[in-house]
Amino acid sequence: MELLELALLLVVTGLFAGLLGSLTGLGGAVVVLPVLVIAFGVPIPEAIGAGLLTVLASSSTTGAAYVRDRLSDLRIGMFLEIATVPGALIGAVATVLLVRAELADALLVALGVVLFALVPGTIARGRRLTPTTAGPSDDVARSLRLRGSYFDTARGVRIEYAAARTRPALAVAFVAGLVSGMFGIGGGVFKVLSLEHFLNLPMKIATATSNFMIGVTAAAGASVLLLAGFINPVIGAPVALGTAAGALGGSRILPTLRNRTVRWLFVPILAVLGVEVILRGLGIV
Amino acid sequence: MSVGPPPSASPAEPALPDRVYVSMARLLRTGLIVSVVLLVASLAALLVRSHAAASGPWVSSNPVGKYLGLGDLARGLVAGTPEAYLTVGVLALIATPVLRVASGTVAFLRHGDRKLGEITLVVLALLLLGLFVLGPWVH
Repeated sequence: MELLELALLLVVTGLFAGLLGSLTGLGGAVVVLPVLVIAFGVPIPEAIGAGLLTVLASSSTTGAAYVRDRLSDLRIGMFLEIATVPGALIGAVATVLLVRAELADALLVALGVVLFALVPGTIARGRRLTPTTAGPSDDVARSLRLRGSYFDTARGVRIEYAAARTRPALAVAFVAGLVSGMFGIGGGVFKVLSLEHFLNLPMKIATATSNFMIGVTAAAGASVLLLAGFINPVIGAPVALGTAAGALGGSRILPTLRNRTVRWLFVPILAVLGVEVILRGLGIV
Repeated sequence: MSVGPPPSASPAEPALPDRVYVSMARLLRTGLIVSVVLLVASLAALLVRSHAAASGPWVSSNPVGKYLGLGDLARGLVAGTPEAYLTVGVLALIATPVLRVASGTVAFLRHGDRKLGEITLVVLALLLLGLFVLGPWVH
């Protein structure tokens, strides 16, 4: 295959992954990463590096609008970054050490397991109806004033919220960072779990704040992986540009689609990619 | 429960002025535009130069590895090497969220929110630790 052909195929792959990732809320990297390994034969370290580039590009593309519309809660996002960033740094260093210890196949198996772990979170999202008044908060949340409100245009009401259970939320945010730095994915499902389930935030705020945090978490992992030589921009740049464009397209058509239908369509794709990646890691295919 | 237009904060919401959100959104957009322009232009230049080259070696080896040192990167930029500009595009993509954290630190401290300002300062320090300590350590 010629270089031009490869670049065009990577852009198209990114477009597809970005569109799907945006519609499901999982981000494009969970599709990009296994596809780079399976279809393009990209070594796992470079695939992880490319994954982080797609996360960075997509997060900045959609993140600006969320911040401008005050849907990203800056206080809560920055509070949780104190857990996601060290998680990402440790995850990225662990990946470098594993690859250098010639344990890249184990990393591939672990990636497959993570893809499976995303399935229940993908199915479960969006079932809870957001209350309009803030629930009880804990001492850390009160001390840092982790609360806010937004105007829900669909329901025509102002929704007030207050963060609760900050300690388990920080623990889950650390895991989100670890997964992001280790595997080059956004870890949005874990961040949303932290924001929605533990902090008890409304889904819209959780999604926008997660997106806000994903970029910073990915930057932490990417800074380590870039200098380790794991980020190959000839692979990563076309796929990241495609993913960002796909994510932008996805966010435009999102209101016209039924969210849950798309999520159900995504589950078998995740499962197939997960199986394929595990089999590759085990040397079976 | 109160009803009102989206931009105004409720009385319960700790006040960060709208301009903080606007300038942060502008920072993210500008960073993205700079990165995309650099990545698209350098990728196009690389493809014009090497479009017919076999893709295998580009997949199996990292062409920017040699531009990760500041001196080599500067020489590559002066020589107009697309790979050097690709590296700068990647750096711009990474730097955008880091600058966003820095702007958050300034915003919180300026508006008298010391605790959150200190938290974001720690996040910024951790990001710089990755870039200037852990990164070079694994290099």
